[in-house]
Amino acid sequence: MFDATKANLRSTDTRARIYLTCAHMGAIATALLIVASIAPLPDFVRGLSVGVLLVSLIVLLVRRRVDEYIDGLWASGASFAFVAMVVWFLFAPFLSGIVDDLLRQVSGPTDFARGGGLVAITAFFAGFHCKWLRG
Amino acid sequence: MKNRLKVLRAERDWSQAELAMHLDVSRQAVNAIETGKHDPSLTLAFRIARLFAMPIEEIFHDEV
Repeated sequence: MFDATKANLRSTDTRARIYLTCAHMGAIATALLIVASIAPLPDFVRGLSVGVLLVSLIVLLVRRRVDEYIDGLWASGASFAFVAMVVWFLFAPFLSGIVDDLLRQVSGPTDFARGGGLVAITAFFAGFHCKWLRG
Repeated sequence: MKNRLKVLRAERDWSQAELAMHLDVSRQAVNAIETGKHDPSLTLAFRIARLFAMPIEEIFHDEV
């Protein structure tokens, strides 16, 4: 009975550790993606970042019920992402218009949609790590 | 919310991992509760109270 509980803890602990590692890797991958969209980085960096980010997000989504603390971290990240998306969809067209006017360029809808995704993911990791660091 | 979890754990000479094992949560969760980064759910608070055989309000209290 005790061994079974101990084994269960070990698996809960291991899953929590894997979860947090994935969250950190996802945050790093997101930061790399942002840098890659601004600065000229090699293509493999962008590819690797997208791959790591996808794996990380899948693990974070599937394994979020490890325990209530991990669930709380996920909820915090999800709340941030939701607010960021609402703000993005309200203000992005307005900001996009200003930037387009300034640069005299017309940005397509693809760039807008891609930007929204990155904003949501960035906000998710910001919320997750804020909760992780400060509670 | 402040709590006496660390003190109660120390009195029993338990590590965070051992307390986590008794509560069926991860060690990270115990650490977050002890440092005040996470407020436990009512279910977990009851489990903690039962484990230490104390009323909840003797373990957790508001920061006023």
